[in-house]
Amino acid sequence: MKLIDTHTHLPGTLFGESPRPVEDIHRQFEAEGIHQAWFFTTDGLIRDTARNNDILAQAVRGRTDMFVPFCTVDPHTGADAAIRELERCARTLSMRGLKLHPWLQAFSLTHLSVVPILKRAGELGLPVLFHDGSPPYSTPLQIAWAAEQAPGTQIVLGHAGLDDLTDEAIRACVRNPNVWMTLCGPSCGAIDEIVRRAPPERLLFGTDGGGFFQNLTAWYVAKIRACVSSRRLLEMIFHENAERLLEVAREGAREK
Amino acid sequence: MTLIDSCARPRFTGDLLDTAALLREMDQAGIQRAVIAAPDEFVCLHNDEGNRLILDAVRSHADRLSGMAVVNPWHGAAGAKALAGWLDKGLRGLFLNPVRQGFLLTEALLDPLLEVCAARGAPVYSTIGTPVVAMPFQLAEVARRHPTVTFVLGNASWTDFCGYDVVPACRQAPNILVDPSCAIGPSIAGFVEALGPGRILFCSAYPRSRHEMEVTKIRSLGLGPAELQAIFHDNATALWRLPA
Ligand SMILES: [Zn+2]
Repeated sequence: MKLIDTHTHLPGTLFGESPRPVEDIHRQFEAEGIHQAWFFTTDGLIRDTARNNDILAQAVRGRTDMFVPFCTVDPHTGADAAIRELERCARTLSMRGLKLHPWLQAFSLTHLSVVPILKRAGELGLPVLFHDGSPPYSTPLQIAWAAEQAPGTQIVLGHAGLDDLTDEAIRACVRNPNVWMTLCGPSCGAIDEIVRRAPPERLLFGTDGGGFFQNLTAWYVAKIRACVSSRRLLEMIFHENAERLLEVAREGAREK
Repeated sequence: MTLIDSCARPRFTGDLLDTAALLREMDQAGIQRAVIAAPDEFVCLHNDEGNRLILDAVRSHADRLSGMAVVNPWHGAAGAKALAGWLDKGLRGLFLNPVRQGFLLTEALLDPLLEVCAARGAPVYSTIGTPVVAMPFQLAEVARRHPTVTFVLGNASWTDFCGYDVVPACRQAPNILVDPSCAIGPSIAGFVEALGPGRILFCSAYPRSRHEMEVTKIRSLGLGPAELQAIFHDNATALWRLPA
């Protein structure tokens, strides 16, 4: 079955990992059965935002059949500067989404520049994937609040509440038609609950991998397969919903 | 190799403890014995009812199941007395879930229960990983205060603290074992390297996780036979004083 991993990172040095040539990661993803990977920076989440956006764009050049690059911006630079960087990434670097990590990037969702950034991302046709599930800055309902202020932007909870906050992640997703969730983190019991209650058309597959871990993809695929018996739903989670999300985001941009 | 699961919790469906479903999963994954505790329905309230169900299950399947007691620390002295009773009847440890039971791991509220465990050599398993109430360093603080009790750090503090706090917390207190369930393989490989296989205790976290996946995960870490023997079997028989 076709597999789209909606949550991967270019290894950096942030967590003590060693940078790997992107061709190795590409080969590993292929070997693991991944057809497409939404690809984010790691180091850019704590320093040199623009430079790390450049590094990521450079890394995926000629490999956009596998990698869908997402940029990041630093809300602390203020809405104007962050939006300028966002526009540069979309127009000059052909980035296709925005990754934000309120915990690592140390901003509250209520920071004055966040909603304008999200709105502009929607206008540019970029979905926004958030780290979520971690207090104090990354709870699903904090992200859902921002999603309500930017209804034209597609927002992804990149960890579906991790494990402790799946209940509110489900509620956020049910309430807000522009909120999606990547089943990366929740244990089987939580995935059972998500599958029972959340809109099936907004569930995505993801690993938070980047080739730094062996067997990670297999572990996450096994987890989903252990919880989902419907072949139809597996198709939706493993690739169809991700494909549609990119389309919905693009269509949102054309309407402006 | 005989596999022992040191923490599973049968589901409670239609007024019954579904041990049949648990045993089926264990069979599929090649697990001989599981140490079980009452499901969430009995963790906060109705502890005695839950412990009675567990004890009955353990007695009906003595070759497959051993049990832990649940006692909410808010029951105070009465809870300590009840815990002593359940341990005397044959349950082998105490299961805690601070976020469900509404207490902070470091609170003195927990001490009467831990004193009972210390007196009877009973281990304490706690779910860990939920900020404010159940963090690795909070468990280490309790473990240092009760050095004669062995604690199990549940679910390797999955999710957020698995790769960060677990190893340093375990280094503060040698009387902590790590339950690697739910966490991703690479973190577990890190625990084995940093703490040694003697401190990793295989648990399934059923039904939060699944037996077969958890077994496959440990087997795919590339560990040697002696390490697997410790993690899957020897650490458990020593901890729960099971027949070898
Ligand atoms: Zn991430």
